[in-house]
Amino acid sequence: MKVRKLLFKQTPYLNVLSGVAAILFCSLILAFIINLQKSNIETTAPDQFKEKNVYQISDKLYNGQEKLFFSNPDSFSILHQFGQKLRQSNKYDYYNAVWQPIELADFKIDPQFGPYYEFGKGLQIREFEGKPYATVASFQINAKVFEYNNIGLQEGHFFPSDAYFFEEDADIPILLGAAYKGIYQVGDHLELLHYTRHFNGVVTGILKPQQRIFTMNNPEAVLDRSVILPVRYFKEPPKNTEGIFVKASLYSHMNGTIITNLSPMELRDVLKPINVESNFEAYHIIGAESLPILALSKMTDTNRLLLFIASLTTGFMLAGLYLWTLSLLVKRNIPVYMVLLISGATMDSIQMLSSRRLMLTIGIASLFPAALLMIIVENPLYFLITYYVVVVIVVLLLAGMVKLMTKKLFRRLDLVQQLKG
Amino acid sequence: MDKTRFIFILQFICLLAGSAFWFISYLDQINMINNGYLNKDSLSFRTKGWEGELNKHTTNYILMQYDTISPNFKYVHVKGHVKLPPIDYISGMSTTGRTKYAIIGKMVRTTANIPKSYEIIGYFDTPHSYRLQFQTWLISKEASIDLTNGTSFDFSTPNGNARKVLDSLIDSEKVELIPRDQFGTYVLESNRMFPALLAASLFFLFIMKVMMIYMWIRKDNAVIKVLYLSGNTYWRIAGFLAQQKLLPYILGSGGLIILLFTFKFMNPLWDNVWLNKLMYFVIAGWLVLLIIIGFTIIKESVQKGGKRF
Repeated sequence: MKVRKLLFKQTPYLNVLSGVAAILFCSLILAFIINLQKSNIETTAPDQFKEKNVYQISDKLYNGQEKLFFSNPDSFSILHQFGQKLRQSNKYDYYNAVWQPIELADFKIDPQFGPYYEFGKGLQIREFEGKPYATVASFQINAKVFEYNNIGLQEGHFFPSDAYFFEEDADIPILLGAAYKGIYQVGDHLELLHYTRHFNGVVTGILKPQQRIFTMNNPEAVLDRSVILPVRYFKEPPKNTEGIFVKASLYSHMNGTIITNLSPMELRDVLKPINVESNFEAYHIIGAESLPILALSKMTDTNRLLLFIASLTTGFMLAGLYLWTLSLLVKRNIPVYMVLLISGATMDSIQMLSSRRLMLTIGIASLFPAALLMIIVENPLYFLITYYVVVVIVVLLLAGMVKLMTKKLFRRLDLVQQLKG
Repeated sequence: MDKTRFIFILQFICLLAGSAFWFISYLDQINMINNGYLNKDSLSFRTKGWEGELNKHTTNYILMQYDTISPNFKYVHVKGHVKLPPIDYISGMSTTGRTKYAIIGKMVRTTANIPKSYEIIGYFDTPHSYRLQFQTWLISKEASIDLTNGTSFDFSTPNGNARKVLDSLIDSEKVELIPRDQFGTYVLESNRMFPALLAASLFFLFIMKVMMIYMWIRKDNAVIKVLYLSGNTYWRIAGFLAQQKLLPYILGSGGLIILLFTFKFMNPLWDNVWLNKLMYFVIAGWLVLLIIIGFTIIKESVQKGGKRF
């Protein structure tokens, strides 16, 4: 201990700087780990689409066909059954992301939340039962959308699992895009019109900025300025079919996306029994353009690789520079080493001293970023363990190099010869 | 020997800083390509009483004009030195000597709507940018803008503050700015965090640099003292240090900057922000060196005192 004090006093200024450098170096290690972990999570989302086929189910009920179909009194029940069987199959993933504007009551007017804002249209407002309602951009999504896209919340919680079923009087849970922060808060009750039917909703969460989901029309649909509702499937064939709500909902439930390894022919075979059982055949299967999907996953992969290479090179270069400052420290401490040699220390023990000092510096320095980590990150254990594993490896590597370096340095300086005069 | 080694290490630090700055810009360019060649500073606007007349102004910009009905069909007005996205030219074609030409993505289905005056000279060589792959760019270097081709615009400039440059071209009251969503790799959090990380490394490098400079000057404390005691004036001591330290250091970093400038001409990025920032880094180094020299002279002469001869 005394020796260390002595060495410290010899070059206090340099020692403090080397300590600061060590703290920064450790922070960088930690930041690299967190960043790599982040990019790993981010690549898993688009990677799920890789090597999969994406199909869109699209009904053929337009013009005269629709009228003809709904002249059948069982038509609603047929559509319901078809949609239900479609999403209950376990041969593929049924992904439902419906872009459909809704209307919010007493909306604090800001035109950028309008669904056609980018196309130059302002906010549309109309009266409904004595209240003004504004049309805003909205997505209705099912649970698979959360599985396939890595969506993050800044506040609140996601939809509970029972939210995906229609209940007449229940409050609809609502997630809001990041741009709504400050306008509404978690827990706020909102009145809304969905396909012109009135519902009550409650805000359960606010998304992080720049969250996006894959949809057939836009592979990177940004959710910032959107209101997110769960797709609410009917448990039973709906009885009250007045208005457009039930019909439009049934359409949106069956016009979903299928994500699967199946080829178009295989998918046709899988869907055949569903047609037969539900007695519904008026639909197409449209294959999605694969380029946007592949491009997304390639883009994120390349991004991760790029960050990884750059992190590694910067890390190595900084380590090199750090070692160099350490060698300067050793050189400055030579008079002390000489005194130590006179007092009976061996060359080996002096070399040990410098590598031990490095371990001590980095050991203490590593605590600062770790403390910061405990405060900032919610579940720090995983990061903490990885961080210390990396720090230990780096320290061992550096200590080995310092030992080699001091050995070479001492041989060149030939301390013993200098002492002899 | 020692002097060259110190200068070498200091230049190495500058080179590292330069690579970090360059990498931040490079990443931004990749993000820009993945985002449909719009960067985070690009502006989107709609016309509001603007008649398509640009004020005459020498500046560099790229102005994409489109109709919201077909946002992938763009009239692109280019002025000055602007880097275009990577292009896979059709053999025998090039941009030289042309004022109007078309570049299209490989996924564009029809070319029938391209006016005859625009000849297709190549395809976007950007396999990861599905946005560009679906776009048609009709590039024109002529200043006139015909608003019948669309009233929505995206504006990007490599000359710093996009808003300022746009205001110098168009009266700001005549356009309505639209907040734009970011796409592509811009959205990735890891990607957004990385420049911050590199900035931390740069801070680290700067501390290292100051430390090195300090140690380098301190090595000659004894010489300064001897010079002082033997009757030299401050100016002579300063001159001696300038000759021994400042000059070789400035020459060294000058060489480095020339090297990086050649690199820039061979491999231009969208903008030169990285080079400007590196210049600040280098100049800050010079200032630190000057301050430390001054500080050392005072500390080692007047403050230490002693009998002068």
